[in-house]
Amino acid sequence: MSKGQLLSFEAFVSLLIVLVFSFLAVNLYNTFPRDDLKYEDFELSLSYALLKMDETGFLDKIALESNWEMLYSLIVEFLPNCKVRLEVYDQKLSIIYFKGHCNKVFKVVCYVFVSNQLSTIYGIKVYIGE
Amino acid sequence: MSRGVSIGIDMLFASVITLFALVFAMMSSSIISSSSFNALTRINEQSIAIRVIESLCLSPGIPADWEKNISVTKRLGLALTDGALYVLSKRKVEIFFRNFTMGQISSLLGLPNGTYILKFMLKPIFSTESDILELECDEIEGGFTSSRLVVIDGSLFIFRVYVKKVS
Repeated sequence: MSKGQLLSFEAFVSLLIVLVFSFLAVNLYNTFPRDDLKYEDFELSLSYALLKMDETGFLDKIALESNWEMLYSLIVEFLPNCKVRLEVYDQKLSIIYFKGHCNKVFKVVCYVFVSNQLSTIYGIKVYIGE
Repeated sequence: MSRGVSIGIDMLFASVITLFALVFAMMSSSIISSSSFNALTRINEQSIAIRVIESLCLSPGIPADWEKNISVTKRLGLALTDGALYVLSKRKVEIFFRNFTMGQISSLLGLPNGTYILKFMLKPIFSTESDILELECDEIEGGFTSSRLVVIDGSLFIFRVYVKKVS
């Protein structure tokens, strides 16, 4: 080590290795997935719920009455442990109804259905998050 | 190293870094292990809840007509024998909520006895409180809830399963 030099080359390399490993460890800890299965389950259950609502004519009835508030209430009741935002689109892709707000979105469920009585296509988009 | 100095600056530096690393490791290990343990418990509860609700909603059970003689039931399932997905048999649902104890249900779902606290709830959408069917052994706080929209006799119901691991 020459005069006036604080660290030898070996010490510098050791320090660098320690810093890199510390950074990797902290990064791994911070990015380790902790969202678990919760939102996967919400996404799956809501997708099937929309399918069942369509099959039983419930969505058709809502569209006929333009009672999208009822759909929003049902989704909120169905997924009580998270925040949801509902957007409903008509066939010109214009939003005809929206309600709710998520600060952080984890999943988005999209569903397209055809109202038999109105012969119109509707798009339903549900944001699931916190 | 000059005369009278017992350790060099490299060694001193290395000692300080090692000391910091040890203190950091000791402090963080307890935090990491407790948060990992909580995450694992949560994932365990979630996977059990999903397994239970999917098993009940998608399978008719073993035998498929167990509702005719519940003493021969080997595995619980509430789905219609030849029904579509998430379409439940009204008779099986009634028997499930009225005739089984929580211990029997745990055993027939293949869950180890006393490991999980379960609660089941079935309510018609937009219904009054009196229409709700509930089955629970203890009040659950925390845990995980999985819900499915199911069809019984052409009507829509929300079916919920709550699972909490006994600590």
